Amino acid sequence: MFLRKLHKRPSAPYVMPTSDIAAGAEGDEQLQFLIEGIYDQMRGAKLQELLGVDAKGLATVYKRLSRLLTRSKTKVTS
Amino acid sequence: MSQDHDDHAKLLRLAEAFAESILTMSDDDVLAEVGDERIARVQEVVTEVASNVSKQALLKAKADREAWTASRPSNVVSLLGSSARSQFDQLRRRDRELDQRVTLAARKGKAPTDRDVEGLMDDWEDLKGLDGQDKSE
Repeated sequence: MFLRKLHKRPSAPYVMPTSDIAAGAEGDEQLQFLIEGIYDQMRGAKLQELLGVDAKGLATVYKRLSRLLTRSKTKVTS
Repeated sequence: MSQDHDDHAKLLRLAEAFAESILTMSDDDVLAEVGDERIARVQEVVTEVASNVSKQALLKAKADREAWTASRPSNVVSLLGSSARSQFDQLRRRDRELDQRVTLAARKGKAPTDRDVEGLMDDWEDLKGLDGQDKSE
């Protein structure tokens, strides 16, 4: 019962095209690198090396990715 | 690989990495990213789930208890008791001395309970066993 409540979503879930994600990351080089790195199945230290940041810096870029995804979804679905 | 399939794989990787990043975040960072409204909603759901689980456990325990009570052979004790009582009465009739010792007065006004009677019958069976051993030796 509670799972149904947690998953109260529209019947057709929104899937953001990768082109929207790329467009949203335009102008933010670190974010672009992060996305490309993840597409190439990189994690942790490899991503830090790719972006030239430490763990804290990587967490900051992840936050920007989170905001991009949230912002993009709001814009598209509204 | 089609473009759709490629996009799907990329999104899947992004989702996995994103989930991992959330799991490695500190509590403070998570709280900073998530609004109070969402936190309250999750707390509400968790509380409701905990309450439902407790209610279900209680209902199951009650059902189990009722099933156990219904299946329990309730007459076993009383039948054993009445059997022992009947043997005990026969013994008393045969043995005057025993009868005197178990009178109400001797027991300070208390009639022997079924438990007492069963205990006495056990002792009696033990004594008969010892008597049998003596005779055989």
